[in-house]
Amino acid sequence: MAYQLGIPHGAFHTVTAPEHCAWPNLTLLPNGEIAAVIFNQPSHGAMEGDVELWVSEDEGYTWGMRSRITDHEPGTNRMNVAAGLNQKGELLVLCFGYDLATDFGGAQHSHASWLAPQICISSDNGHTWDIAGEMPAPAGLDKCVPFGDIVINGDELAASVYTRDPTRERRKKYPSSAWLMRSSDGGRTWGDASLVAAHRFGEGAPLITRQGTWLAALRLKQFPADYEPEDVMNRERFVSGPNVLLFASDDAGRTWEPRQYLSLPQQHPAHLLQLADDRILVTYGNRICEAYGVVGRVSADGAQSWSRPFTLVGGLMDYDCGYPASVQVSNGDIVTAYYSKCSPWYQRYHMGVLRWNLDMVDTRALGA
Amino acid sequence: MTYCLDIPVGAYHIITAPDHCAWPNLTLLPNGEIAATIFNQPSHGRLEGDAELWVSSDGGETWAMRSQITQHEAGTVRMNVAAGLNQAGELLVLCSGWDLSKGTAEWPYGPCLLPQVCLSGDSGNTWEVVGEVQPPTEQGSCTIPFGDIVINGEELLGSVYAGDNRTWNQSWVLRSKDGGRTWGEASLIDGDNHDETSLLRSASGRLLAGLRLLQGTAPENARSSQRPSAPLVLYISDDQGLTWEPQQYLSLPGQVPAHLLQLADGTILLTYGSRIPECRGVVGRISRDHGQTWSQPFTLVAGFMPNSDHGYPSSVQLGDGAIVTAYYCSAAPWYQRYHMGVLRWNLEMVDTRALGA
Repeated sequence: MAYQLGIPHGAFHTVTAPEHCAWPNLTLLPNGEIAAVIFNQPSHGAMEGDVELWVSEDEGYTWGMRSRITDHEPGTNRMNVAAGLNQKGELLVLCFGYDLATDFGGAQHSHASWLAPQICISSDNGHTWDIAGEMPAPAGLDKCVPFGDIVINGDELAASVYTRDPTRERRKKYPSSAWLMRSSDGGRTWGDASLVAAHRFGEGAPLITRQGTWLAALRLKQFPADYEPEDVMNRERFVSGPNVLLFASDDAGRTWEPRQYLSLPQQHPAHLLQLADDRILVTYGNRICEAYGVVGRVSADGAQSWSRPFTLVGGLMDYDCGYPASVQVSNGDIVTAYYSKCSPWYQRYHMGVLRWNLDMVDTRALGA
Repeated sequence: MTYCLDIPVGAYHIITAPDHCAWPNLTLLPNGEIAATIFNQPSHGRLEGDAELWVSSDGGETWAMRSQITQHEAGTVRMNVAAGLNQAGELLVLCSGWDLSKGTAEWPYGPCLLPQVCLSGDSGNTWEVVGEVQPPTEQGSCTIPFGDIVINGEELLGSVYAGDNRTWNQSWVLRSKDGGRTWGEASLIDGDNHDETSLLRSASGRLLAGLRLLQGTAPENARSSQRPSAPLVLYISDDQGLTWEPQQYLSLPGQVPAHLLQLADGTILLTYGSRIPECRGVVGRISRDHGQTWSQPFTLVAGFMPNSDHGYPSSVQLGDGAIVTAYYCSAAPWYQRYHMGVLRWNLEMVDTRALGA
């Protein structure tokens, strides 16, 4: 039987981090290394585990584990992250987790027992880590889940989180909201939250362009009318609607307006990256049945319009895949990492890595 | 662009041993683990390196390095192996190599190193080098082991190919009567134009050998990759390997080398690498009549990239009947560096009809 691997012609692809449900977050370190912050267990969060730092010293060709970032307590895990550099070049990881022992119901966790994100800082390119504290939720809310890149805005940092309302009744109506949190001390403390979108939004990928535009590509959670928040992991599979919605802010992230949908139903979550030539790349996971993989689009006009989608990775075998993150390396190539539970060529959890460039894909406008 | 990975429907496939030009040799250990003896460098023998033992404790699903078998001397490489169990269940590896420090632009490998006899009494956790294998012939000093070491009653059989340093072309069977510690009593399978040989002793006592035929005469300065491609040829012995008779070609030119395995139901499985352009991968055939006739070839793995270095399959059968086949590849679309690929499959997943059926 012939399985198909769809990658851009001429792209380099490799498999690393075996047995890791990676959900990778990539950061280009000051020394040119690529850091991947990944979850270290072969499970979609249903096992105790931690986040690790894997590093490529050759711009994406080979990878090795450098350190374990968190040290989970028994009965818990640490798995959801936002990551990036602060103004001093220190590597920051905000890492959320679950108390599995308290409220864990079978194959999927209930999200009922959230742990406050730990603030992890490394000043030696991820060899060693300090826990600087815990990240609070936006005022009046319970816990928050960091996601995506930590971005620099002058003297402050910004990170995307999503939250849930602490009361069950309100969660039925407003199950999840997306926020931007700020830090004025290099990532050691966080607060000064701004609401990006309420009601049904989860993982958000922030980007501040060199032109000063603030963007956030949010995962839109579509729920049926009888939505029960404790069953979120399964409910999502049976609903439709575009899954990545782009928001923009003209006041440094204080207020946000929705701009346009970027993906089809079952395509999420997103990652945004501005390339050296100022084009903006969005990548997102593709969980459409029979098309599991990673998709990209580019914008050459500051995110006003976007190219047709192009396949970066196609042919994966399981819904449990995606979560791409990208960095651009010295020669202009783009390194995109993703995770997969089962691919024809590697039928266990792993991280896949693609090194490619825009000349390899069709970036024409939709309908061109 | 769409690449294809062609494997049997329902088969399990995994990648392991990153940056290893593995040339794997699989052995089913007495405790049910699968041992893979592999070369540990991302190079077709042009880097200093050693043979390592990687092991799967879960029927081929996951793999991890257990030990380094050899300790190469500076400027040399240990890479060519034959491996198997002796009657006591000890794991044996015969490992030759090359003195790279004496290589030339014409022949970068340098002279052959005699095979070391490596023995492990603890399923490959620790190793002892108990001696060397001497050349089977005075006509050349180059002696290179290959394939499975097989038990033949109270003796062991292992194949080597031998000859001058750059013109090895003789396929031999060596014997050991002391559990693999010393080797001798060589029998020639074919003295001209053959090298890597896979041995099998079938349940009936018949010995089979799948030989790589070195077709044609290469130019004096040709590297191995430039030699004319060649097929596999089957030899059979009914006198304990003392004399051998050629039987038939088993593959097309460019499809080498072979591995032979008798399955629990008596079927003989042949696997071999396919380096035919546009058909790069691993191919299998079976025989249900002790090697007299063979099924049509079936693809086990295909889709490697052009100009990649790959093949050298080796298989074992597990208690549940599943077959685990390992191979190496330098560049597959899904993993574009040296690695070992592993396929877990069974005969019901492939078309084993006779040729022309």
